[in-house]
Amino acid sequence: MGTLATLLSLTVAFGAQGPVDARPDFQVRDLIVATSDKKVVDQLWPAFKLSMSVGDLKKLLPSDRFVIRTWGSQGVVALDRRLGVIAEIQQGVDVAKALAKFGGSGLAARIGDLSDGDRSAICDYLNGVAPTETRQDGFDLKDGAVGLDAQVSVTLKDPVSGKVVQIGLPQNNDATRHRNELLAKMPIPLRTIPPGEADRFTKQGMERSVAVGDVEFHVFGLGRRTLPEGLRVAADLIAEVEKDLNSKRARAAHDLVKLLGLDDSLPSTANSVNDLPKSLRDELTASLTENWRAWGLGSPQEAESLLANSNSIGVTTWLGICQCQDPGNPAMHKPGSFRSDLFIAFQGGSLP
Amino acid sequence: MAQCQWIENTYSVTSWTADLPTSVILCPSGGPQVWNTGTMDWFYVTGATTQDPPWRMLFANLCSNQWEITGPVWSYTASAGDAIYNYDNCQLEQGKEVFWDYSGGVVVDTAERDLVRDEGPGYHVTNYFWWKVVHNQGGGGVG
Repeated sequence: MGTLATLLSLTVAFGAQGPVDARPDFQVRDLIVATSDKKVVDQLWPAFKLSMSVGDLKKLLPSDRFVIRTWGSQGVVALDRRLGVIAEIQQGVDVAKALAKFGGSGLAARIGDLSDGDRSAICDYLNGVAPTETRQDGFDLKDGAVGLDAQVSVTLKDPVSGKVVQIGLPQNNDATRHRNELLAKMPIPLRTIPPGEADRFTKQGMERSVAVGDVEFHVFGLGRRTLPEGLRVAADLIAEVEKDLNSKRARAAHDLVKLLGLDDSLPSTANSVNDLPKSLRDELTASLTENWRAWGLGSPQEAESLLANSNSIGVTTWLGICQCQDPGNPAMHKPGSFRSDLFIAFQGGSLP
Repeated sequence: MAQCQWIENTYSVTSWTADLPTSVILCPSGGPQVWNTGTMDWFYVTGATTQDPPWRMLFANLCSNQWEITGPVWSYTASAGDAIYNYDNCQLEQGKEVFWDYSGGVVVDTAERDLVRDEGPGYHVTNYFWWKVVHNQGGGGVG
C-alpha cells in the first residue's frame, strides 16, 4: 500500500483538479499509463509514436480495459481498469450483483447453475482467496455451492485503557439455517496440504495481497516535462473511477442488505451504546456479557464496563460469500466446517 | 399408609440454534494465520437442590456426559486489518420438569429439575465450526 500512500500524498500536494473534457482528436506528446501489468507496458513501448493521434492511441488502449483522460495541450492519461485497487472494487460490485440473485434460491446456489458472468465473478473471487490447489484433488468448483452471508460488526473502544474490541453479530434465522443445509449438500472440500506446499500458498497469498495495492505510472513520449501535472490528472482520474465504483458497490450492498432483511439504517458511528437502536444494543449486550471470553475480555465485569464506557463505536454490516468445506457427520457427532469471506461493507445512512 | 408417588406434572423443552463466538483473531499486519478451534459439548442435568428422591441422581448419571470437540486446522494468508471470527454453530436445549408427590391423592410435595449447565442451556451439540474473515478494504467501508 506504500505506493498508493505516495499517490494520495501527491493528490493532496498538487490540489484537486476537475475532470478535463474530451476534446477533438489531437497529436499526443505526453502519455502516462497507470497499470501494474508489465505486458501492457511491453506492448505499448514499441507501438507508441510521438505525435500519434488520440484516435490511434485509443486503438492501442481499448475502452473496455482502459479509461482515457486527455489533459493539457497534448497529454493523455490511461488508467488500466485491472489496476489492483480498481479491480478489487469492481470485483466487489460484480460479486454483489451475482449474490443479489440468490434471493429466490434460499440464499445459496450451485456454482454450475449460475450464468456465465456470475459464475466467472464468483469463481474468480473464490480462486483469489483460496488457490485451486487447496481444494480436494479433482474437485470441480461448478459442483460446489456458495451462499450469501452477512454479519454486523461493532467496534468498541475503552476510553481509559484504549483497548479495542471487535464484536461480530452473525445472522441466525430460518433462512440462514436453510441456506446452511443447501451448502452442506454441495460442499467445496479441502484437501490436506503438506507443510511445504502450505508455505507456497502462503507466499502466493502475500504476493496477491501486496499486488492489490500496487499503482505504477509509466511515462511515454515527452511526459517527463509535465510529470507533476500529468500525475495530478492521473491521481484525480483514479479517485474519480474509484468513487464511481464505490458508489455502485454501496448500492449493490444496499440491495443485499434489503434482501437479507437487515436494518439498512444502522448508524455507522455512535458515542454511546445507548445511542444504538434497541435491537442492536440488546444483541450486542447479550453477546458481550455471555461470551466475554471469546471477545478477549477477562471477566463479565470488564464486558459491562466496556459497554458502559465506550464512547467511540463503529458499526458496519459486512456481506460476502459463504461455503461449506465439510458437511460433517451428525450421527457420529462430527461437526462440519464452514467458511465465510465478508468483503462488501455497508454502513447505514444515506447512500452516496 | 398411603404410598408416596412422584408424577411428572409438566415438562417443557425449548430448542434453538445459535452461532456462539469462540474467538476472534485480529490481524494488524499481513501474514499467514494457522489456527484451530474447539468447544465442549454436553448433555447435563442439574437443578435439584437435594439428591432426593433417588431418581434425580439416576437421571443425572444417565444423562451426564460431555466431550470436547476439536475442529479442523485452518490456514489463511491475512492482509493487514483483516479480522477472523470463529463461531460454534450449535444446537441448544433448555428444559424443565416439574413433579408432584401424591400421597393419598393429595399433593404433599413438589420437585423440579432443569436441563441447565452453568446457568446456560442444558444441551449443547455442535453442528458446524464456522470461520468468517472480514477482509480489510484499505479505504474502509462504503455506503
